[in-house]
Amino acid sequence: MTRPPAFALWLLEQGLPARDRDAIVGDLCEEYSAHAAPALGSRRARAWFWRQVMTSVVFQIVRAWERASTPRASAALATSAALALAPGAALLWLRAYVLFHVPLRADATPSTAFAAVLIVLLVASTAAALRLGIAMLDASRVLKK
Amino acid sequence: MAKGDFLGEFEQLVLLALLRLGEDAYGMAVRREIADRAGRDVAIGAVYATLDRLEQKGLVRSWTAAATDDRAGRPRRCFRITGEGGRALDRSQRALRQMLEGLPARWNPAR
Repeated sequence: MTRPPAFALWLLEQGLPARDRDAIVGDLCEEYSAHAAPALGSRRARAWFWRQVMTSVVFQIVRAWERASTPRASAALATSAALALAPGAALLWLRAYVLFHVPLRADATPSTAFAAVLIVLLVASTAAALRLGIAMLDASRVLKK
Repeated sequence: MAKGDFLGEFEQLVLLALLRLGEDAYGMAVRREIADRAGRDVAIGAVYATLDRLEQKGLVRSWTAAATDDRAGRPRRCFRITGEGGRALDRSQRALRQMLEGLPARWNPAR
């Protein structure tokens, strides 16, 4: 079995509601190994997979939003936004605080390592926020049933 | 007749794909059927979002099939159109045919 891009697969799992997660991930893995990779070649198949992941997550968020009540949708949005942004903001604040109180370097340009840490932190917190937001929106489906 | 009694264009395509596929209907098969027949390359997430909406309206029903190795061990979710789904599709198709009736052949392929 040809494996789809691991990071795209991981991202897909974060952005799907529990009910459809297995079905969509399974369908995409099957289509990737059985049709996309043999027909399109590795590079174009990976691009196809990424396109499917990004658009699928957007459609599933919109659908979860449609089903949720307004207060629950607002709470999910506020919580997700806070969770996505808080770690990055805290790191930037900490850096500014340290530079202000411990002026070790006059040059305050962020290093590549710092930028990399910030990016990894933002990706991880955004994925966690996506998963939490989807779970919060999805909970209203359970309550309605 | 209420606005909700009629189906959107994509909802009709999904229901027609379910009818064509019969027992083998699952998300990716529906996506492939729509791409092959209607020439619309849609995201699998859009197909599942529509199937979810149709299931909420009682127009389709779903069940979980066994997992297989080529699906990374994930089970398949299969769908079937309900009696109400068939009637809703018929209503929407009839409405479209009645709107086309009397129009020049360019707009009415049945003539």
